[in-house]
Amino acid sequence: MAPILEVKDLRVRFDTEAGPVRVVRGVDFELEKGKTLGIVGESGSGKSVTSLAIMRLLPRPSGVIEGGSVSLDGTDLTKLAPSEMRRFRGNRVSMVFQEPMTALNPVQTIRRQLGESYVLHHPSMTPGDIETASINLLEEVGIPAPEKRLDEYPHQLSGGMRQRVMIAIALACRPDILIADEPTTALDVTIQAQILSLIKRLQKEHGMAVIFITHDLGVIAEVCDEVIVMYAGRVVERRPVNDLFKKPRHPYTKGLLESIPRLDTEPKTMLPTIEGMVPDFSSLPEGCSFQNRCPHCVEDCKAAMPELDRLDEIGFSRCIRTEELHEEIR
Amino acid sequence: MSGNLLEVKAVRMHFPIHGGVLFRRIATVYAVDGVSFNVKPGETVGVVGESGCGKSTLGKTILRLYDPTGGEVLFEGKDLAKMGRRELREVRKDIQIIFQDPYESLNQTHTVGRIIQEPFVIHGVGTKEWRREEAKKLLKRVGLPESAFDRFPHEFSGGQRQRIGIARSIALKPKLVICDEPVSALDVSIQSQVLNLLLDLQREMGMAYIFIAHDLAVVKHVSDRIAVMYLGKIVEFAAAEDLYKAPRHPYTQALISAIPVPDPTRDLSTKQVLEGDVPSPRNPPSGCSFRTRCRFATERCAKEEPTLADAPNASKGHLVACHYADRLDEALKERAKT
Repeated sequence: MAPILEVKDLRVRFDTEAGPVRVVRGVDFELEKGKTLGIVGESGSGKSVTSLAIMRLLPRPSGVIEGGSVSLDGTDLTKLAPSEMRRFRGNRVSMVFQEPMTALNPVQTIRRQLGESYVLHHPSMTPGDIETASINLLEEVGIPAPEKRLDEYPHQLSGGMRQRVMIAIALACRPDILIADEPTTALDVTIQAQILSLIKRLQKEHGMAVIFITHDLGVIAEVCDEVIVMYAGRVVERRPVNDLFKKPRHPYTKGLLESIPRLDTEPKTMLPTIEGMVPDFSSLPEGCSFQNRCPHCVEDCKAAMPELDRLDEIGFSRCIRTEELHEEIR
Repeated sequence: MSGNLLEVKAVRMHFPIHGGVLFRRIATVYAVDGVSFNVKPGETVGVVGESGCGKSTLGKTILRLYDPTGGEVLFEGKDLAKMGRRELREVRKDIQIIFQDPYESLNQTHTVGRIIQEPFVIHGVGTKEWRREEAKKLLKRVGLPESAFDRFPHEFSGGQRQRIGIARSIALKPKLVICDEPVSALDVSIQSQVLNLLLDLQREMGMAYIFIAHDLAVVKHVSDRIAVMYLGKIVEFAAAEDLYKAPRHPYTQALISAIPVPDPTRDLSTKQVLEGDVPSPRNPPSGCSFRTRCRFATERCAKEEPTLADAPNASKGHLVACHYADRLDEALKERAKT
């Protein structure tokens, strides 16, 4: 099946007072209809900026798409004029953000915010149509007494309910792709479970493709089909979810997976760690970005940035020692 | 003395809400509502719960950053809640706190050296020279370079700032450190570094921790015993391993089930999803506070508040506050069979 979204060599730069900072340094992936792609990484890995670039929502004028393409069904979103992009955003590609309190407008009712996408993308709808559609949407995302909620403001809702409203807004125009940027990070774990199952149910019903951005590998394991792991603005590993968790190939992925405390590990034992910290974009070393923290680093790693090599039909890893280390582990 | 370092007895922390024209008390937030537990020297007691369950308030009440509205907090047998200012200052040498947000809990205008020496200055410990030397040793101990001494907090990453906070809290060699969400603001790879540091320091210095966090996997990793809180009350208290392997409260069960596990082969069909939100602590439900979301709730739960008591057929010291704890035990056995 042809992918619905194809991102090729996407590069994003921020122009700051201290000079240009390249935060996304060539990201490639494809997304098929009905599938979920997870993007995982720590702060500063470029995962959120990647999604903002796809939506063309980078802060202006500092955020610039330097190169690459984002093609949705054959249309390159990076080349669209702002007015043309507006026809896609919220209509074919939608986004749900981490903090529903800041993403929703605090002085507008739920009715107004839900109706906005209809007014913009379906100008022929009457106010009556919009009300019916809005109530149906709220019902669909599991909000009790939707008629009553329509005239409430975001602050009258709990965090979980606000996130449901955000999802309702995102789904209003039945997008082909939903980008969820840390949608459950600000929520409690029991509410997170509700939202995750909601997103999965809606995806199944509408056949949407989902890009799920999170730092939580547990969430990735639960919702994704394929995963890309990002580090310092690049994809370091890209694998089907089962393969990634069973046999991570990149030393960074392996380190991340080992360092999470799990419910079934022996209490009060030392956790394996990744030494050091994520490097600053302004002081990235020559060669592999992960070299300073990698337990397997050799001289060659410092010479040049490794390519994102194909491991098998569907997997990729950006490490010159992938094969060798794989053998060693065996 | 009972051999306990800290005994928390029926502590309450009710915050009044004032309002109206006359600014009268119009409501009460029952943030902590009758919490009892004890901490032995050198052990870690974890406190886990969702936002608004009162876990952070509990930590601050123990340290008497809030004056409790009821109950006793006995530290080495003496009631902190009744202490005068001077006495309290003396005992605070032995009880320290690490906060969640290392960005806000360090004074941005002071050098790291000054921040770490502050406990010595406040409590009049050592000479100027000694304090400097000791602060440098502390920096090294928490894994920071000596050069950090003359720099400012904003020059450091989140993980490093948390190390500075830890250095400050262990400066006076306390007997108890309250860790309030110490790793929740940190990245995954940094989180494990800080957890290891805390475990390592405890092994070396033998202090007790009260480890407060919302992430049960993290709490379980560092704790000997764990208290699960819901709406201002402890609903279950057990050894870490028992709590995970044989949870007796329906809330604990649901909490464990809701945690996303980094294993894509996990069978999600058995995952329990709790309906609804946590009720407001301003207006907690009658009887059992969890009954509005509990699948076992009956009329009895609305009328009678369950007390925290020994769980049936469980290890010694496993406490649960549920009228139907025995039923849950059977439900668990049922599940184990299939």
